[in-house]
Amino acid sequence: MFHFDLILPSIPYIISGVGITLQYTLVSVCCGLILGSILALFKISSSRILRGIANGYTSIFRGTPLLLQLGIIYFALPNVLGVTLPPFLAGILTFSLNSGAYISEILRAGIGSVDAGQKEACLSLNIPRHKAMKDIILPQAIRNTLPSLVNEVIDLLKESALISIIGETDLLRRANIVAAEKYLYLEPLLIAGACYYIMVLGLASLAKLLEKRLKVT
Amino acid sequence: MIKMSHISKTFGTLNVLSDINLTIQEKEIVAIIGPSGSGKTTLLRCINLLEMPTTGSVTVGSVTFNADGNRSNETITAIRKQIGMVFQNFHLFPHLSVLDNLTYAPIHVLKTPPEAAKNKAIQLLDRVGLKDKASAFPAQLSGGQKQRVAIARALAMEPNIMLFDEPTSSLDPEMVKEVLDVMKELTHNHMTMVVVTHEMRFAEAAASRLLFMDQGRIIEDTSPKAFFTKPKTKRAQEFLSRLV
Repeated sequence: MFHFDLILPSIPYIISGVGITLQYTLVSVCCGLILGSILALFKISSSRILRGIANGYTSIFRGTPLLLQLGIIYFALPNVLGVTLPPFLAGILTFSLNSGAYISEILRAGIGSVDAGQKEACLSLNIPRHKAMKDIILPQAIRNTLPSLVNEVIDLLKESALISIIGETDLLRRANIVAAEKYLYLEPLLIAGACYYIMVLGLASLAKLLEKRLKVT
Repeated sequence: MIKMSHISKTFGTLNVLSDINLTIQEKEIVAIIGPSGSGKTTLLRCINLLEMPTTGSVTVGSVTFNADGNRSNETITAIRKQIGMVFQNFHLFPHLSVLDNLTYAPIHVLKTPPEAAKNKAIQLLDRVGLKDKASAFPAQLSGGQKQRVAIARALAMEPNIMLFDEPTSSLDPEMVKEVLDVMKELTHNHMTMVVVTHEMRFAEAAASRLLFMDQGRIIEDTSPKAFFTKPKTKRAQEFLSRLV
């Protein structure tokens, strides 16, 4: 029932989409982590305005589909601002903005989970608030929330498949191209699926290793 | 050195401290004892303003904090600068090595050059008997070792006053001594110390002055010897008679 032989020459083409998918995921996660940290700090700030901004932002980006956000940034923005972003930039921007919203929620909870005694130790040592947050509280918050953060990365990795709608030839898009060419759907999709699955497994075991290491220290 | 005038502290409707007046001279070793809920810890935390008094003023050195007057951040910082604090549950930074726990604040707050901060830290670790643990992480230490590191961390900021909040209460019995020994050594070094403790033997042997608290008030202020041989108040007599 399988006819992998028919798509054999196209397999490398499909698999090379892994690089593009990973590129999107990694860059977006890094930007999302920075944005999420800033938003999380806004959420715990004493300023009502900053809290309002961060909560409003999260509410909008969590409350609408990622596909719609991508559409607005890539297709609608040129009409409004007259600038056309290249697909890569539009994709990265959308994913970063979106994951920033989710990561900020994860980190906010993580900061709350750090023992109040840590803050008191910082106060008693006169460590300024921003340094205490950056060097003492946030690293522990990130450590406490590592499993949720990894989940977010995995989500992002899979959702990156959406960039095919703006013409980027990522893993899934390549599988679909090959499928359309050969009138053969199962095999290319299975190959792409296997690639996604292996990447997720890799991420998960990397996270486990990291968690184990952090536990020792 | 420390002067508290008309300090009271309320949490909601709960009166934790009522009109505390207390002066502590330089180099005094003050032990604060009393039943749980008597306000010992809150009193201690009011000295370095981890707890803000509801009324009254706290003077440390030449800096005065006033609950309904001068309560600026500069004042609070200037008071905390003179004081080191050791907590019941250590509160070491778990993601930093022992050495980094000791050098972080000197480098980032006092702007000590890293190399000098490191040398100082090693010296302090040597003093608390943990020089070989400089590169260990807090999770790898026993409770007694953690508390000794916490003491060294507080000392690294070169305070004139050390506050101890039940420093041995969460330790295994056999680790209590090593911590008390370090604290005793400090008393020989002309440090002003205020210690909330359940260790009566330590209070008796090392303190120069003893405060007994009950229901948010200091009801005895005397020498340890006088207190343990002949407490004046009925409450203190009851308290002592229940100790094993």
